Amino acid sequence: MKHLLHIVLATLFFAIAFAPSSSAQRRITPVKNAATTTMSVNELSNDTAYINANRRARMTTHYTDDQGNIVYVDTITGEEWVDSVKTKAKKIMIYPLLESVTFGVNIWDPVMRLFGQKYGGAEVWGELSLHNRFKPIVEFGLGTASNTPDDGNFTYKSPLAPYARIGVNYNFLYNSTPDYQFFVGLRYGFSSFNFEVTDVTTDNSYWNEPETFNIPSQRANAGFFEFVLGLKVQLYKNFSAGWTIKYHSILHESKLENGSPWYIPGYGSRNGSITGSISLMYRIPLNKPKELTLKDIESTLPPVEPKTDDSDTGSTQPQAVEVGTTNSPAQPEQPSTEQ
Amino acid sequence: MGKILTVILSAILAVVAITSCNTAGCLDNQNSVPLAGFYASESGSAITISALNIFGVGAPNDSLLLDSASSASQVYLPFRPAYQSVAFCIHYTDDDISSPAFNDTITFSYNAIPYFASEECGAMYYYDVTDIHTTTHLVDSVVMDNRLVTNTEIENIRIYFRTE
Repeated sequence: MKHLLHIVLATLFFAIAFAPSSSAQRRITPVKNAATTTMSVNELSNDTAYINANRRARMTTHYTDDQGNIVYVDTITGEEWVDSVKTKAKKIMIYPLLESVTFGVNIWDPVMRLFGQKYGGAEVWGELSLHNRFKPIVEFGLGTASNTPDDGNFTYKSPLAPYARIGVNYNFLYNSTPDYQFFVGLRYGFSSFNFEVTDVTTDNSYWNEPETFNIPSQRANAGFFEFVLGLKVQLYKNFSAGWTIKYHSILHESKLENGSPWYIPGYGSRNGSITGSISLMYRIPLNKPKELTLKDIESTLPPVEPKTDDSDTGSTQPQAVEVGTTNSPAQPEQPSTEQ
Repeated sequence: MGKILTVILSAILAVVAITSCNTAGCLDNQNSVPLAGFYASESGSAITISALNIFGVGAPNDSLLLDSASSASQVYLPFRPAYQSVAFCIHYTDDDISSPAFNDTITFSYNAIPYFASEECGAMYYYDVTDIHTTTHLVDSVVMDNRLVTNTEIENIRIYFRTE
């Protein structure tokens, strides 16, 4: 019985004594490096380039090159690379090239006549939307003027005359709905017209010879440019309204012996350099905007850096996990096939 | 709806701003009246004279453009648009030269050009001076650098007097 007790105790002792020894054979020794750290937190743990990038972020210096790119230098390998995060991403054009055409009526002059403006007319315009971003535009109108200032000594008349403008707008909200736009634009305008100044009275008080005369009808041409800033909002379905504020200046005009015209159709009076427009418009969609795919979104991301050479990756490859005793080789030698 | 209201309000503000910003007013004259300055022929410098009367030949009531009672260095010489020339007489009031025989007469020949200047300044005549003639009792010479008389406020004519 005593002998049996010794056998049981010896068995228990060996069981306890050898159990930890067996566990030690299975222990995995963690290797702390950039790759394994990344592996534990990121699904891209197998992407060597990504791992290298993380390491480089900690072990690099950088400078800015002539093109304004930030160039990082690996202080260990001497390798240089451009920070692709800082490079401009490719922009997606949601809206097709021929996105829509819009026709509008400019009601600025009728509105301004309510404020006492002595000239004006009617204007229509058409605009082609390219990617909802660039918008070539043509504007046609007829303008006339009749002005007898209260404190003036003349009557100015300019019969109905045509004018045209051509230009382009740039919509800042090009990837947003075309119903709402905020844009800048440039225009070149031209008009050929007549004007006359009648009932001119001069008070030559010293000689006591008051004079009345007319400046007969004269033909004139004028060209001008406009810088436009404006916005449009949807009113109902395809109907929209918008306004612009314009800075304009005369580029060229006829040289006339009897003076320059006060009113130029399409330009307005030459008194000021600021004017505007108020438009009601109707938009006709031509093509539907494309639906974004994952590929489209990926194409906007900065380009992925190509994998580097072996000398670089060699030092940062995750080390083999040791299994078994610390003296065991990491990888068993393959048997030679050569005889 | 809020965006539409914003557009309307901003458009009204733009209209008010534009209508209030575009009034310049007439910064020149509302007539083309040449301005003559007095100069010493010897030194060429501007002078102020108190002992002369200037009037237009044929002016109603012989009204004076410049009275000897006041000293002046410049005088306006209004032209006559209905005529192609105008003459101005200079009468010296100093005792020893107060005789009409010492009067000087300056005659300008010109073409009057109807001209529309601007909405604020209005319409008027410009004068393209073609010839200047003067007697030379005390006047040495009359000079115009720019023969076109406009409504710009500048001295168009220089009258040089013998000052010795």
